[in-house]
Formats: sequence, C-alpha cells, structure tokens
Amino acid sequence: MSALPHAAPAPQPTPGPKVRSGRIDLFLRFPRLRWLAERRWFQFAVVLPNLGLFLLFLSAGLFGTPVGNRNIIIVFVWILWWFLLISALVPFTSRIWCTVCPFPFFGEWAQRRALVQVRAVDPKKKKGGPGVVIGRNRYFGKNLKWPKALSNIWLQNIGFLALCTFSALFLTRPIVSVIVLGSLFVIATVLHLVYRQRTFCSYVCPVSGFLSLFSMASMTEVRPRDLDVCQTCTDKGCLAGSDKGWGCPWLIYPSKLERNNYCGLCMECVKACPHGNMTVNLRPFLSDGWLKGYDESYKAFIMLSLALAYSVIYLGPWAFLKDWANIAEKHDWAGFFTYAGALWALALVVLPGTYYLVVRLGRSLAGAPAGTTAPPTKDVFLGFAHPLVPLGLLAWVAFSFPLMLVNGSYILQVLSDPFGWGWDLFHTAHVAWTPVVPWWTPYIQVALLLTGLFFALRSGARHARRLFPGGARALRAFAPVALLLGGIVAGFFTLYVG
Amino acid sequence: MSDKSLEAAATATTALVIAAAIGAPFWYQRRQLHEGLPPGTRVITLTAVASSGHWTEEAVNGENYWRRDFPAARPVLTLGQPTAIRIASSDVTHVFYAPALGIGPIEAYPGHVRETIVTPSKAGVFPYYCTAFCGNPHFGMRGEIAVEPAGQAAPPPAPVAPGTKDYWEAPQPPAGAPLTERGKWIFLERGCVTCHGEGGRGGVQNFNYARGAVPALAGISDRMMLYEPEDVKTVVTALAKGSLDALAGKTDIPHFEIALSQYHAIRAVIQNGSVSAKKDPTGPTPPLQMPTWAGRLSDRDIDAVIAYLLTLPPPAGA
Amino acid sequence: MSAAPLQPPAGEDPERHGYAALVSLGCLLVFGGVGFAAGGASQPPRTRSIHVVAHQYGYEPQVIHVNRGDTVRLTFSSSDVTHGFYLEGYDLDVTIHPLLPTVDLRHPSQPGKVEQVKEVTFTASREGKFRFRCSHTCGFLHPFMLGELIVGPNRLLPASMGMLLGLVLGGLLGLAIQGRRSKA
Repeated sequence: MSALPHAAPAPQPTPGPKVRSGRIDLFLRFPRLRWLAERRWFQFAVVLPNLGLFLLFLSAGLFGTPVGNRNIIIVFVWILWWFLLISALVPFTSRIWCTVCPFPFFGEWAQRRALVQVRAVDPKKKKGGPGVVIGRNRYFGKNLKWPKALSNIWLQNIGFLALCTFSALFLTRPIVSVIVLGSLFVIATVLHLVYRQRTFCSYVCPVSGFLSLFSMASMTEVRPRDLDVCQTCTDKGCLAGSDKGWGCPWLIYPSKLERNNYCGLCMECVKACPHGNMTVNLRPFLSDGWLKGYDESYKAFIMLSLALAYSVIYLGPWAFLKDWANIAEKHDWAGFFTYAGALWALALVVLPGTYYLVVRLGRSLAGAPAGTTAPPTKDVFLGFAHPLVPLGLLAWVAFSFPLMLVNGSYILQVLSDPFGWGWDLFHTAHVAWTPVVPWWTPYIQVALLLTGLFFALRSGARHARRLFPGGARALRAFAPVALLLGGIVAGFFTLYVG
Repeated sequence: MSDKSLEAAATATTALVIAAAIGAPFWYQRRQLHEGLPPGTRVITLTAVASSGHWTEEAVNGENYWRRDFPAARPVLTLGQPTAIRIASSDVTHVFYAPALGIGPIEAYPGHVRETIVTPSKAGVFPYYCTAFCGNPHFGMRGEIAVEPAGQAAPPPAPVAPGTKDYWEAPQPPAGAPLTERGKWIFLERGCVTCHGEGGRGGVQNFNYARGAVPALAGISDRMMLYEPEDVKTVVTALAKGSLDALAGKTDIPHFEIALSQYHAIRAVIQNGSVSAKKDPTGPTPPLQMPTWAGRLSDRDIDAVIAYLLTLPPPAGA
Repeated sequence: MSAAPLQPPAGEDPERHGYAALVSLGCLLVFGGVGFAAGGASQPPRTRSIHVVAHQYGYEPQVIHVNRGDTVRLTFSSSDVTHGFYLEGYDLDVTIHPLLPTVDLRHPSQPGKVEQVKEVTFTASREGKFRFRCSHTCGFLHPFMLGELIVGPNRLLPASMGMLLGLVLGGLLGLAIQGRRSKA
C-alpha cells in the first residue's frame, strides 16, 4: 500500500543549513513523520476514527441519558475535547484538530468523490469531463467562489459569540449539543457542495475562528523549508494541485505561508510539492507575531471577553448569573437579555473601545520626532492587540483547567457507560466523583495567567519598538497598554484567587 | 494496491465505521440487559422524571426528555416469575420504594442504573413511591405494581395518585387575599394534598404505618377544641393579624389554653416533621413520613396552612 | 485595508531579550514577595455558625468568609432537591436531603463511612480560597453549582497582585533599558 504503482520515488529533502533559524525541522528529524504525512490515506485514516466517535456522540445525545454529566456527548466534547483543544492541541500542535476534524468529511467526500485518491487533470484535456477543474485537480459540486466581502473571520467572530451566548444550554443538555454538532455536519456538507474546497472551514466554522487566532501561539507550523526553492519553482503544486496532492484546500498559498492562522494542517501541500520542500517545524511559543486585520483583533477581544464572562458565570459563586444564562430552564428572559447584552457589549464595544482609547493615548504620549508622523492608528492598534493572543489563550487555559480537575471523574464514568444505560465496560461507571487536587487550582491559574501576561508584555514591547523606534517613545507608547493588560489580569486574579 | 481498489477499501471501511458507531451501542445494550440474569427473567426499567412527577416505563433519552410528559408506570409482574427491575433517574436524585414487594428503598442517581431482581410471591396491587424529595411533583410520584398469576388478565388499573400537576400549577392568590386562601394554595402547591388528601380528608395508605393511612387534617378544629364556628373565625382572624398568643386572656373562647397548646403542637409537627411509627417493628420503614418544613415554609405560611385547615369541615362520621 | 507593515518585528539581539525577561522576572519575584509578606496578619480564632441553604444552582450564602484557626459550624438545608456540599481541601462531602432534619456526612479520604448528623464542624486550618461544590447531580447546571469558602489571610491574592505589578513594571523597565541601549 505504501507506494502507488505509478508514483515516482519521493524527492529527498535537501540536507544542510536550509532549516530556518529557531526552528527544528520535524520531517528531517523524524523521517517516519514525513513518510506518514505523504501517504494519500493519512488524513482519511485519522479522520475516520474521529468520525465514528462523533457519530457515537450524536447517537448518545439522542438516545442516551438526558443527564448531561453522564452522557458522553457532553463529557467528551465539552470537558475532554475542549480542554485538550485549548490547553494542548492549540498551544503545541497548531490546528491539528482541523487535520482530524470529522465535520467536513461528507462534504469533502462529495466534493472530491474520493476519500483517498487525488483527481488530477491532464493539462491537455483540461476542458472536458465532469465536475469543475481548479488548478490541476477536478472537483464536483458547484465550487463557487466565496464572496469577497465575507472572506475574513467576521462571520466566525459573530457566529462564535452567538453560539457561546447559549453555552449554558449546550454544555448541559445532550440534545442541544446534538443540535450544535449536527448543524456543523449539515452546514459543512451543504457549503462544501456549493462553495469551493474548504470555504466552510476558512470562513464559516465557528471553531475555526479561535483556532486560527490561537494557532499563532502554537509551537508547530507547516512551512516551506527553503524559500529559494519556492522562488524558482514553476510547478506550484502546493497551490494548483498535482497527481499526488490536492491544491491547498484552505485556499491559501502554502509557499508563502508566514503565519499559522489559516493553515489546516491537511498535509496536501506536503504531498503535492514536487521538490519535497514543505515541512513541519517545531518553533518557539508565539512565533507568529502580528495580526492582519480588525477581524482578527476582534476575535481576540471576543475570546478574552468570553474567558472573563465564563469565569464569572461558571467558576463564580453567583447563582443568579447561572440562572440568567440558563434560559431554557429558568425562563428569565429579562435576565437572559441582560446577560447576553452585557456579554456582547463587553466583547464588541467595551473591551475594544477601551483598548482603542488606551492605544490612542499611548500613541499620542509617544509623539513623533520633528519631521515625521506617528504610525497610523490602525497599525498601532493591531500591533498592540497582538498581546491579547497569548493572554487570551492562557486565560482560556486558566479557565478550563479547574473544569478538568473537578470533572475528570465524569470522564471515567462515561468511558464505562457512555449512554448512561447502565453499562460498566471498564468497571469505572460508578467511581465516586472526586475533584483532583482542586486546592491547587488558584496557584495553577495564577501561574498560567502570569505566563500569558509575560508573553503579552513581550509581544507588546516588540511592537512598541517596531512602531516607535528610538529611545523612550516605545516606552511611552506601550505603558498605557501594559497597564491595561495588567488590569485585565488583575480582574482575573480577583475572580480566581480573591 | 491500485487507486481504484484503495478507494473501494476506504469506502467500505467508512461504511463499516459509520454502521459500527451507530449500531454497536444498541447491539451491546440488548446483550448486557440480560447478562448475568437467569434465563426467562423479564427486564423492566423504571426511570424517574421529576418534571413529569412520575416513574415511567418508557425510554427517557436526550431526544424526548425535554418535550414529553411521561405517564406513570404501572408494571404488571407475573407471580413467581423473576423480574429484573432497573431503577434510573433522568434528572435529580430519587428513591424508589415499593415496601410491600420488598423492593428498595433504592437511590436513583441521575444517569446511573441500579438493578434488583424480584420474584413476587403474592398476587395483588402494591404501591410504589419516590421517597427522596425531588421537586414539587415529588409528593404525587407514586404508582402501583400489579402482580398476577401467570396467564391471567391484568386487573383493571386503579386510579394512580391524583392528577397531581394541577396542584403545583394552581395560581398563587393575590397579596391581599385572605390568609386561608393562601393556606389552601400552599396545601396544594407544596404537595400536602397528595398525602393528606383533598380537603384534608387523609386516607392515603402508608405501608407498615401504625395507623394504616396518612391522618386526616380536616378535624384539627376539633383537636383544638374549637367547636363553635365563631371561635374558629376568631382564631383565624387572630392568625391573620399575626399571632394567636396575643389572644390569650383577651378572649372568651372556652379552653383557649388547650387551643393554644394544640396550635403550638401542630406548628412543631409541620416545622420538624415526624417519623411514622411502624406497625410491625421488624417490617420495612413506612414510605411516607411527615417532612421537615422549617426553613421551607415561613412562620406566616405555616399559620396560613393551619388557618386553612381550621376552615375545613371535619370528615363525615368523625 | 491600509497598507499596514505586515512584517514581523525586525530581528533583534536575543541577548537583550533575555536581559529584559530577567528584569521582568526579578521584579515579579520581589513584588510578589512583598505582596505575600504584607498580606495581612492572622486574626484571633473564633467560632462561626453558618446555615447553608442549597438550591438549584447555588448556595446561600454564596461566599463564606472565615479566618484561619476559626471553628466553623455548618448546618444545611435544601430548598428544592437533593444536593451535595463537597468542600475542597477540607475532606468534607455532605449530602443535603430536602425536608429531612439530618444530612449525610462523608470524608472522601475514608470511603464507605457515612454519618447522619445535624451539624458539621471543622477547623479552618488552611488559608486561601476553597470552593464548595454540589456532589449530587441536581439538574442541568449541577456541574457549575458552587460557592466559596475564603479562609483569611488569603495571602495568595496580594502575592499574585504583587507579581502581576512586578511583571508589568519589570516589562516596562526592560523596554526603557533596551531603548537606552539601542540609542547608545
């Protein structure tokens, strides 16, 4: 199975000093990893078990117990999956979730009419045949282009915020989780049939938005190994596809990859590159150092606001707030709209607005040397919004950590009895609910938040030096932002420790 | 392997995984339901649903829990046939108790299933209860299990606990309403009615209870030795004003001191509850016990209930 | 879209980075230590009697404040269904039955042992913030039903605020030093 009959031997990676500085080339270090990534069946093999798992979750949500903390759909998706995603997968392995994500499985299958193989088009016969030819691959379905106005993550921002407004429902009710996850399957499939390649993932999927933002911090990346090879390359298989790999399904140009944000780690470019020049690197934390637009900065504001709001609602002692969020049971519409309005106002107006004013203050404090002008406010704003990437990520980890420590025993219980039907597969169905070292929680949270603040300050200082070169200007520009960042963390400390 | 056959293998594997993910749990469930049981054992699952206020035989799951009102189970067991009764809860902690059949009390933890095997040795109709307070419908969360000889038609179902939902959905009287009206509402809404009966007439059977049935409350005016309707009125007015003690020495009600001490005794029972004495000391605990209402009902609300009970005519023949 | 300069900040002398980080961490430790030391003295111990009402989904009082060394006497009631009261860090797990005069007391470190008691007494021997959580599934939001026991002096708070301040000031100091050096 390892070699297709007509497949040419894989080109050997160029040895030598071409590895980028500060990076460890995992394909050079572990050739088996490269071998695996180059298999046509690689993604199929990792998605399929996950697809089975998520179908099982949906089935459990429908036919298993309505008790959320005893149904695998709640416990595995919102406790285990979420925790792994935010505190392990994203910070260390970038968007590897997208590699194994089952939601686009059916859509992509319909689009490619292939699970494993590539539909390469003979350049001479490009015109004829069924389906649509894009680059050197043939696709089925409509394959429309996504509207330019929506080619950003605004839709994901609003979608994620809207979804998270109802977190008290899908975190606790299997049926609501079924609706959320089921809709992801349906919407992904429909959009795959209408729009080209992974349009759904790039521009619509609500999970994708935060993955893209926080993958900037990740310690793994897919990158071209040697930029000179890309420069002289005329094949552009990574973009156009080839008989070994589909053209980048994520609609990006792999050879120009500079940030992790929109790369779904599908490994198609690794296969399609005729020079074997695409690789996976290990890199320092927070290596992608800049935001590209207001949509990305808003993602950061929304994520931080949600971490704050959830810490208040789910980790705080205030029962009336839980009642407000728990609209389906308590029916307190006035309370729900107060909560939802406050959340949306915080995420979309108050936090960005405050941030904007503070950035403006810093910019005017910095001034401009005679004969020059200060950098545009947008540049300063986006530069100083980047610190919210590490801060937001670590705040989310700090929020998720105690949920895992406290509810870990539910994982053991549903492992033995996923549907709450009275099974005891591994003799753990009745283990007592026991929080694991819950008294360490405040210390862990303080350490995590201080780590986040450290990286935030480091990022802010870098942008300050870039935007306001020369002596004390950087300091004056950054000081108000640094104090604001500190203030935000102080707010978290008050919640977690106070 | 050629492209085509690889693709075919992938498609087949996909179909297999999907079928397994959806089918395997149901297959395993069928298998494990009877695992370890003697052959021929029937399996009955009773799931507690707090919002419906019933133990139900129907499957309660994520898909139907939020939209269905589940009816009370009335299982029919066969004399001498072993039956596995699986007790489950779909929301909060309940306790299943059918003392006459020797089942329970079994704590039903949400999402866990407890199983017990019964082999009924006498025919008849036997009540079951929920004995962990599980919300307002709790007091009506009763039903019965019929046991019949093999091959015989089931006896017609007796009316199960009164149409309980009407009680807790009774509209609250307005703030200015008379105290007795509030008392009546509490009597219904808090579920007193489900054991002490409509109009406080009592009569609900309490298995192995020294006095047999739950006592009637309609006669408390007699217990307080208030035989004249005017005296009852005076006492109710005093309660509405806030205190019965204030009446001491200022009323011509005969034996008022007895009325007062009875009033305090009744209050104490409502506040602190009482344990139902066993008829047969070696038998099971009677399922119905007077709960502890202190902290759940204010002093004012307890007075309201007492005022309401005072206005009830004593049961006929008392 | 304006023509924002999208390049990452130009490569810098890594040694200077290390220097700034060192300054930040130094300040963090110093200020954190100061915060911890200044975090308040112990109060003379006293006995506190508190009645806790559990309901879907929270406790009344939501937050219990005591001082280290205090004797805490807790009584319980539930205003709706069966709830738990699992106190982190104090090896207590109470089951609160509505409409019953007693509660079940368990110590998670001694599984299998259950006592029926009217009152739970313990000495607040560890300082800090401890949450009490519902340990009996009590409805949809059960996993988030919690309250807080704060045992003073809760020195982690001033210590962490100190570390936070140290980190921010240290970061700015590092930036100032780098500015001077790059000028020089």
